[in-house]
Amino acid sequence: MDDLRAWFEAATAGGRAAQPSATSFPLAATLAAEASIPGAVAEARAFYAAACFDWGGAWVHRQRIGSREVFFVHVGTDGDGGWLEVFDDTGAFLLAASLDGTRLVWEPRDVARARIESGEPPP
Amino acid sequence: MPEYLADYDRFGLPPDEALRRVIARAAADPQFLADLDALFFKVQPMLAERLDCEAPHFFVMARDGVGNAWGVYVDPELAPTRGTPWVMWEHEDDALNYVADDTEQFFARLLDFCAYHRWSSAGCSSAFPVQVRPICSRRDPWSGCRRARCRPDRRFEPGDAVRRRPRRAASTRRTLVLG
Repeated sequence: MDDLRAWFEAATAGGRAAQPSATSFPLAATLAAEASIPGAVAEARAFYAAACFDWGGAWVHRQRIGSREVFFVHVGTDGDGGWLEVFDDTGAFLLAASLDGTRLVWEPRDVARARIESGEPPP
Repeated sequence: MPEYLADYDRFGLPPDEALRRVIARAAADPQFLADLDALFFKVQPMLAERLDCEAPHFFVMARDGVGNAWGVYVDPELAPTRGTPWVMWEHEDDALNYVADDTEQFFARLLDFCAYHRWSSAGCSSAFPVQVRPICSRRDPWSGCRRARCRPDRRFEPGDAVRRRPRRAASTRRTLVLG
């Protein structure tokens, strides 16, 4: 998993990763074709879309990282907070992170998701 | 299948076949819905009050995914003479901003904005490049409108044009519309 973490950390470095960007992370070119999205990934997107209904949105991207093809759900909001969930190409969950300004903090998925309700930024 | 079309029809708005076709296809075609989603146009017709926007003549057609909403402004008293423009509700300022005269113009501008300005390698990511004017704002003493009494103002004058806003450095704040 270290290679995946390193890739996302590098991709989000220096930017405000909760906000979709034209030139950095995540690129629109990696938006996943709808028919290719595994059910578990779509469920994650639906979770965030509902949880952030009036202040954020969730998009599914597909990205090759080294020899792996992964899906990731990127959750953007109107502020600094955001979320990231990474899945393998079959839809198996791999990693979750909370986004806070320019920071990406890897966390257990339930901890990251709980921040939507609590509003608490990651440590 | 999402009930977007039924939700839209329940509004009882003046006929807009182009918009109705967009909503119907979004409800039936997941990839089309996702494509619109990628343009920061998350289709979901709803009353504005669901977003805590108290403008009774504003009918939300989509959210942008970062707190704002796109929709049509339909005031029965003014529509015959001033039309039913597309507006964006900007949640930070709680203001409705004129975007386009009609559905065709709106989507042309949305595509232009997203394809060139937002997602191109040269574009900026957080500034709406179209010059828009608030048509109502509770913080605008000039219009004198209250949130519940929002009315369009001079945007309906003939010859109004949308102008390009000079490109600027990416803002630290995510705001699509600058009124």
